Amino acid sequence: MKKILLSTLLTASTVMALSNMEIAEKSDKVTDGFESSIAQTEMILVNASNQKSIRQLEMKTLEGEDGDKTISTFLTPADVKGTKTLGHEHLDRDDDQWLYLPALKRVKRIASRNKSGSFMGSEFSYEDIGNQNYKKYTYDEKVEEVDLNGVKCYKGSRIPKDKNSGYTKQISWVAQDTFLLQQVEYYDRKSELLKTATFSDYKQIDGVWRVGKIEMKNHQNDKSTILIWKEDKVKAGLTDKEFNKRVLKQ
Amino acid sequence: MYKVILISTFLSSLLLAEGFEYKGNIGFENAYINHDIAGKRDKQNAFRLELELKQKVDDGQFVFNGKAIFDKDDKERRYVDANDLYYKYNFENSDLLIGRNTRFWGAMEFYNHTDNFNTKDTLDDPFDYDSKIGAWNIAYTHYFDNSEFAVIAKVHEEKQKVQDVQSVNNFFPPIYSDNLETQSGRDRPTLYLKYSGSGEETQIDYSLIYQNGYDEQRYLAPVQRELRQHAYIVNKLMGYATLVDGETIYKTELAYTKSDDSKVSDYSQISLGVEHTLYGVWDKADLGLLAEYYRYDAKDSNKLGAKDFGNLFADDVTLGFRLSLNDGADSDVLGGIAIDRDNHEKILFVEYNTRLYDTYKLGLSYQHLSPETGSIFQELDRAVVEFGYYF
Repeated sequence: MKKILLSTLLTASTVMALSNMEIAEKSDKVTDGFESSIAQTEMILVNASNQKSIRQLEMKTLEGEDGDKTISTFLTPADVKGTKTLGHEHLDRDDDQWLYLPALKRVKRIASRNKSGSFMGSEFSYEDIGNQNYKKYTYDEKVEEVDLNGVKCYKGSRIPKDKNSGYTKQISWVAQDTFLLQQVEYYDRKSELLKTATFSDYKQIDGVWRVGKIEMKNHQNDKSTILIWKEDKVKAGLTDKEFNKRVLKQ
Repeated sequence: MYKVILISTFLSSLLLAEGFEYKGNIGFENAYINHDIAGKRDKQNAFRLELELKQKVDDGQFVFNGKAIFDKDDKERRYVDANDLYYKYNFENSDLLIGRNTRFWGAMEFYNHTDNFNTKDTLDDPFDYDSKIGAWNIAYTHYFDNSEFAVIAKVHEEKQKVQDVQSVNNFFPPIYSDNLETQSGRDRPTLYLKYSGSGEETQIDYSLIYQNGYDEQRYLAPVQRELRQHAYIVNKLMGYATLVDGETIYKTELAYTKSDDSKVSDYSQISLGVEHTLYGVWDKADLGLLAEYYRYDAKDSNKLGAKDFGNLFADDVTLGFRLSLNDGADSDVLGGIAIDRDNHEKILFVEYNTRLYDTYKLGLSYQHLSPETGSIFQELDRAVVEFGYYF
């Protein structure tokens, strides 16, 4: 009888246990469904001497099956005000990216393979800022149940499929109750810990979970960047037309 | 005077309205020039102000973009002008622009022979090809999913003023006058038909342009006791494209011009360029390597060709680099060498730009012009400091 009970419990436990990939998929899904969004963000760059520099930008995003479309408009610093980037993400090939330089009135197609490059001089790279679709990674089978600052989390490791990624490995902490991402450690091409991102200030807007703050700490240069969503509107009614090259010059 | 009244009226109307956008900068430039050219100054110091105002009205937008320059020594180089002064109305799939504006056409980094919509502002800086004079025009653009088609009518030809005779940037004899001679009057429209598109699967952008009207380049000929620019009519077909393949960008510009002036030869132009970027060469820094070639071929050597128009890009190679530090100040270094195979000179150049305390910008640049036998230029070194406050 004991054997039957143990066997039943083990079977139930196996059925209930989630794989690393399933956790990532669930984590991805809880922030999906925003359709389109308009966000006013502030980026605080903190150097090793704790000096701060602030950037503001407006980010519009259109959710898509094969990748999101984004348009970012720089509001400050004043010398780059009006500079815009337009990105059309693709899961199966390099993304399309354009840069608009208002002083020259020039729209430039730019290379998008620069995944590991710094975004706006910050500790975020282009791949950190881009869509974190769970299909972009392969997953380690091992899942740990751990406590992170009082939050029960699933801890697991994933490897970017993109050979141009700046990372060899990422370790993620996902809250067990909400499946919201809490923390990610990024390992560089030498497999050394490069950065840690801490996600906080989550709120539900129109039924969709949205992050309110991400702090990215670079362990190798002691710099950090804090990205704060000052305003965030989801299901904003944006369409493909708002992500056409036409809008860059407007 | 009409410019001052027009600009003042426009600015007053904007200031009375609510919720308009603005941006601009005020600063100075100091250039130190080492040369042995008789009668020319060895410095150029000026204050600059640039201001852009935008006011949205329903589905349209008023735009003003002006600049003011006050040169300490060069009295000719003290002026106010509006590069942009237009209204653009946005329809569902198209827009209509009426007024004065500047446009950029081209793919290359250092010089664009297809960027010929505006007259270059040689009074500001004859070697800054991005410094332009706004052109009065009416433009209708229709947008498709991945392309656009524009019909543009430029309705007035602008005069081209130059710096005073003591400036090293003035290559004209003292009898030069900015009075403009034209083949069919200054208000004869120049028509442009422009189609631009992007590839669906391939990372390519391209544009094709047909032009009928005044050519951007003008020849000099005496009229009475003055040396004046002469604008002549052409039929021109242009195209340019940019193709991204991984970390490499390939670029080209092509043009064929049929002249309606018996003194000017038909001519073709071609530019080829490649830009390859090495990411993370040092910390977060990216290094872009650039190579470009430009050519101008006159079809009839007995008629006016590139040299007669002062076109320096008849057979030229530019090799350069851009080091983007990707720091919080967006610092970068651009450098290289321009080799003029036709006019027999080389120009070494390097410039550094950075931001200070979020609102100030500092630019440092150095150029060395090294002419060989047969060059139309003389040896010259130029160091420039630019500092500006941005708001």
